[in-house]
Amino acid sequence: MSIKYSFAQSGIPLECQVGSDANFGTLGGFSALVDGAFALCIDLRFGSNAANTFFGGTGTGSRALYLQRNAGSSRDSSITFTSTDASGDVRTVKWAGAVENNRWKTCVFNSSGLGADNLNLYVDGELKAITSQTNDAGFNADEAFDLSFGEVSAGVIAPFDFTTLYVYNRALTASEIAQISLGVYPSGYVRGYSFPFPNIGVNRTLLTPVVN
Amino acid sequence: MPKYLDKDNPAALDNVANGSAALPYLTVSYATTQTTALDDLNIAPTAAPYNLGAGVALTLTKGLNFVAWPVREGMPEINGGDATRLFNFSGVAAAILFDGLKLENTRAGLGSYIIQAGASTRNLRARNCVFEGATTLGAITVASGGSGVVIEDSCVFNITGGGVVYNGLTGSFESYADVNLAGTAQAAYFFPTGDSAGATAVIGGTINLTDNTNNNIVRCSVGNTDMSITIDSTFFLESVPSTFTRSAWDIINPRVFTAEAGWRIDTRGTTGIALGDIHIYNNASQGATVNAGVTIGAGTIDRAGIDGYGIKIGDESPSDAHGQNKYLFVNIDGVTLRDGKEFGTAGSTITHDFFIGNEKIYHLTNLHGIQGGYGIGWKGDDVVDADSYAYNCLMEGMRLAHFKTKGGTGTRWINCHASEDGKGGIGFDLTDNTDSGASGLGNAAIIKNCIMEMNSDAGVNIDAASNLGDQDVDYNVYIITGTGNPVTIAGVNITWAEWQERRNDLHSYLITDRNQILDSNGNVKVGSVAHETGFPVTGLTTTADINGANAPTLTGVSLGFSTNYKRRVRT
Repeated sequence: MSIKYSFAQSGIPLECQVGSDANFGTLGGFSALVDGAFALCIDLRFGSNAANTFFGGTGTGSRALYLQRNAGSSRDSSITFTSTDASGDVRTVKWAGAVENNRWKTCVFNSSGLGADNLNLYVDGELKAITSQTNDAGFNADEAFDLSFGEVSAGVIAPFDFTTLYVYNRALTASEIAQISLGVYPSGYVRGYSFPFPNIGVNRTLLTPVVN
Repeated sequence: MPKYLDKDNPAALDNVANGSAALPYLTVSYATTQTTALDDLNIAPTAAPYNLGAGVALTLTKGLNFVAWPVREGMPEINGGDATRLFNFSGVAAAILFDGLKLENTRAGLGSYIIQAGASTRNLRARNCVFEGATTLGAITVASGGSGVVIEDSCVFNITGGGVVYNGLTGSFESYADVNLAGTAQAAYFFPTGDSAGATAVIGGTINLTDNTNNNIVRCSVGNTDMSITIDSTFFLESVPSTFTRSAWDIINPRVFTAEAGWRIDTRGTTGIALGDIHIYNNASQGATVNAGVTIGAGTIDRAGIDGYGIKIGDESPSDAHGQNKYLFVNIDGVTLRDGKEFGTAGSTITHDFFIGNEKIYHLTNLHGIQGGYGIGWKGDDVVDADSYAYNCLMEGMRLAHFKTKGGTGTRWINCHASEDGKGGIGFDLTDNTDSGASGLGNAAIIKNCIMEMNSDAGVNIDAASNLGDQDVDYNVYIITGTGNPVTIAGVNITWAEWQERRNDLHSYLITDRNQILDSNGNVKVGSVAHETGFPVTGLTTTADINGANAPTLTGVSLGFSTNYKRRVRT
């Protein structure tokens, strides 16, 4: 199985940092997919019970998309998905007790479309129960906008590490989600990131050979 | 209508049957001015050269093609004899071509050239030509304002005095000829002056210097300003006596300097003292008015006797001769320097394979130094830009230190390997470098993803004036054998535990056998502690998506290191 790693803090801006802002641009138009079938796969680890918004962004008008940890200082190890369209229609799904602290988790947000119970969270391949949800039938994601990890709101740093990120414009099957929990990602992703730790030492293939 | 010049058959000049037209203005021995535009002047080989006489042999004010006459075998030779200038182009902007000729001027001394291209020159080309002579300054001189001079790679210069080019041009000059320079000259290519308009020169071909004592291969003198110089050549210094005192490339005050990938300098023919292989710097008071940068692509340096620096950009200390922070960037990538002098031997002069002194941004990547005093050294003025780094560099067998910094801000060594190889040098040597940013000292040095392979000295040495912050040295592997030790502070060994108590190398490994992490080719073994356990660095290690594109933008602020952070290895 593949080995995946997190970003880490170094104290200088040259390097990736815990809580730093990772801006993925429009992320394959993910924010415009959320009224249809989509899947978002993230490997992450939270370092505390603090409430924070660890992923998301805003578009024009009221358009927004957020993933929050312990929203409202609930301290219930919850994840909340919230998206708002241009007319103010909101889709919210909350999973309490979904992700504990200090553990690497492979999370899959899997949506087959709008409507109740159609957006589900799998953690390490296990389906998490929906605690509450709001599914506005008029929801219409009509714009792609930038989404960031970490410092989604200026000056508010989410205390977490993340690594692999895949986005699909379709719902994943149960077997695919099970494979993802083992580190095997299906093809056909809109965007896929995997941040491996580099080797220590020199890649000698990049050196110019000695001439005799 | 082509014209024919046949020294042994003058009648051919006017032989209409040969397709020629009368050529009354060109005789074998003349010194005149040609003011009529011509087509081709076809020149036949002769038993003796066309000797064009004394003084200025031929002055042209119109375009002309000199082409070897294919009717007779051999290469026509036009000999300037005692002419100061074999050809003088005055006010000629039209195309001039030399093709298939041997051009020689035997007159030595200042002001003697084979070709003098005037300020109006815009299109002067030589092809399949041999240039010979002993001119003091250059076989070709291009006056300020002249441009469009191209010496194709089918040409050869066999010069016994002077260089190929002496000029202070404004426009462009390109030479891809092979050069054999066996006399005394300023340089094979010498640019005494450029100007604020930004002249350009491209130098290619194979250049051999033999029996010289004072020749540079390429030289820009102090009076030069604002030239853009590109080098794409192979250079040899052969049979150079011990009095050789020059650098191979001595480049002063260029606006832009570029060495294209594939260049080579081989100075193993030298045995004595010299100033080094490559030196590029900018005067404070006379330097370029528009400074861009220095880019040196992949190339090799083989040396045996030169004591100077391998590549030296800037200087040890700022001065009028070396203005501080003159270049916006210095990028050196893929250079391998092999020093055959065995610097490990006592008595050798202490110099650097690669040295950057008091410039602004350094990007040193994929450098390989094989023996020397210091491997990579940089010395700053505490205003070095924070984006500087040495990445993926291998230094082996240095006598004093493989990587060294003194002052300078933002010294970063990422994915480098210091292999002492019995020569006694420190792995990474930090002097005058603090995390507190004290005045006059550099700061923010980091060492990550590096291998320190030591058998008699320290992997990391920090002098008394320096200090480091938490985790500035981390994610490394120390291979310690013999009497080597991981770290010294102010010359005193400290234990691994003491070092980690200072919150450095918490995620590093201390081993005693290189075979634990490296295969026989020096590559990291899959599954070893050095495999995929380093630290991701934006812009250097991979952060793009899995298709190699769409890298996220990573920014942020320091939060302080998380004590809970551990390398994650999922199984």
